[in-house]
Amino acid sequence: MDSDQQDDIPFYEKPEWADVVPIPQDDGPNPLVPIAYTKEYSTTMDYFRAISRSQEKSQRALDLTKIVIEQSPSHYTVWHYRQRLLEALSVDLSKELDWTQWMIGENPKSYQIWHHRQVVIGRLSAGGATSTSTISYRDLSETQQKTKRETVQVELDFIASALADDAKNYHAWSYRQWVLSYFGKGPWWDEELAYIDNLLTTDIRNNSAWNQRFYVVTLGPQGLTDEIVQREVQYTKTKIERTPNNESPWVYLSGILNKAKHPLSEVKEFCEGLLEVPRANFSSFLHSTLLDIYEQEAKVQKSAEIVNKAKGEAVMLAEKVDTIRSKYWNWRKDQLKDIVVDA
Amino acid sequence: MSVLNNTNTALDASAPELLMDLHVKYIQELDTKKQDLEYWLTEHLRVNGLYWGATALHILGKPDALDHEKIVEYLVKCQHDNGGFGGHIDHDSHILSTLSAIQVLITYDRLDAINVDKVVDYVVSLQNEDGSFSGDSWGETDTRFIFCAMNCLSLLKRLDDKRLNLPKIIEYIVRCRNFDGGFGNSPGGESHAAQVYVCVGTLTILGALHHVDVEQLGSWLSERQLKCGGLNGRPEKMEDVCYSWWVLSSLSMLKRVHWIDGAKLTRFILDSQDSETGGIADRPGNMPDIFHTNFGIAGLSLLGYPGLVAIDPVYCMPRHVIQRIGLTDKH
Repeated sequence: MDSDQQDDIPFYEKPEWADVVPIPQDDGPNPLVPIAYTKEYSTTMDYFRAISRSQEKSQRALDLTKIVIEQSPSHYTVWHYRQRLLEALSVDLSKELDWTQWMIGENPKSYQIWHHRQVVIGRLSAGGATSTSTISYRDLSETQQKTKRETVQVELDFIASALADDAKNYHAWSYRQWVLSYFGKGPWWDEELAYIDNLLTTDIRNNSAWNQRFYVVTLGPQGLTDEIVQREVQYTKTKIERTPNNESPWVYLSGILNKAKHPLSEVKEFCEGLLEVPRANFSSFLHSTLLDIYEQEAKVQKSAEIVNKAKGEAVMLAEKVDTIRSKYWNWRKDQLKDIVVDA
Repeated sequence: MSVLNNTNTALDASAPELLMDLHVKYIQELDTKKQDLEYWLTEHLRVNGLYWGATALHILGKPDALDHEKIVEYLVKCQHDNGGFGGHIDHDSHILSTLSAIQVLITYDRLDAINVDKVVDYVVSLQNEDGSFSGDSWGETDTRFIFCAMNCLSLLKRLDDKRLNLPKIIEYIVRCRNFDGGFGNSPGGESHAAQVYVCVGTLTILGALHHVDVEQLGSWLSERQLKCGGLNGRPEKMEDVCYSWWVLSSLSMLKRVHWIDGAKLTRFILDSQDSETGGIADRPGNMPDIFHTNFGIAGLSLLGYPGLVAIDPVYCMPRHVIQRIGLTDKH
């Protein structure tokens, strides 16, 4: 429980709650027989029902929402009530940030807490120097830039600490994308790439980090220039060489080429080179990429020889490298029959 | 057409059987566990829980194992003046519980018990300018909520409501399509099998499946099967029984279920049963819960497990119920 809830007296035995008549749960026809440890929670809820039914806007109501939420962090009705209270009571929202940080540490997978954090940040930055309104970062004064940068940094650092515990936390990544785009163009986009690189150095198989890389590279302020495409292809090749049987960089590689409208055959030599590496030769992703390359090439060149190479890859996948998906690979092999070839 | 699955599926001879009677008992007893703290802490999911339980029982061929009348009476109490349903009595309206309530009421053929027009008003009110839907008046958005809204309005035959902007919905879903062929919770969000299900489901309901690269997505989905036979939701994540539903139903909508190894997946789900208490866990050896029990059984039904009632891959409700209300032309 939170640090300021440490006194032993339950809240409902304190004088400020004496006037509230708790409302018991209407839970359908069965009689309920709660044992001791759930009594604490059900009593708390009886008080919550009483307070929320009258939509009381008070400090004690705010305190009570905190007690309930700390016991039942996904109780969205209580979160909702808390939002209304924060607004009505003009509470200092920076304290709310400290509390949500603590709560997310305890319950990193609760949708409600992450959303609450987003709402609070949105409200905090709606006015003042961090406003994302019409002024772009470039046009802000130096002091304003500094303030905005700090606000963004606090959020990114906070999210990074959640990702340090679970580098694939979907909520954390989703919120991170929201922060990046909510605060618009700014230096944080460039810095994000270094952060992702760190994560991929720790865990080269972190698909969430690969997805974030795609997000930053394709949506970032610089745009997907030819230079960036080459840099990314090079970067990904190095990662593939290290873990040839890792789905993420392979998908990323074809994703980037596709997005930039470059043909997959740009990496043909690289892939054929990997066939010589014993460890890579068993990668289903290597063979499936080669199958894609040969299939495309065969269609353009109308060459029976290349169709055969593609067929070889499909057979390799269905019978040796990826037998669990043999039906899919056999279907791919059958598709090759439709390619028109020159006699 | 027979309601039950045929018995022609190839099964692993050494696989355990589906403990049908034990699962029925497990579901029937869920509501009697009020001494458990867990019961109270999942209060906000009570209506969803009813949907999972009622659906699983129907698929197990035991539609009368719970008291219909009491369920309907309870659900009526969960509807608010704004038309939406809360996760429990006194809980605020939310699109997730609203869909569950409607699914249960339609399964029991008891829509007459509630005010349908108000449900439609509520669902329609949650659409945002960009086409997305919020989960409630608090504003969290997620592709899950779009699916809940479309699923709900489709079941109620109210997709023609003039206040809706359907092209914007399709546009938004397309923006959530990723470079790997999958879909995320928002534009740019990582592909995740459960988000794929809701996006493919939405496109199926809206007759817009042509926006999906079937081969690329089908391949990504089949890539989710691991050597143990189970499916994961994202690359390099652990297998989990609930993905038997999210991945399999998506493959089913794309007509590509045969791209994965059905016998191995069946074995994985059966191994995740709790042979003492009944119920199915996320993976072998773990504690069962109603969520995984339902999606495990639903997955087995899609795989054609003998003796189970056929399930609809879009609505995750018994196929005969979807046929009864005339929605089978969706896929």
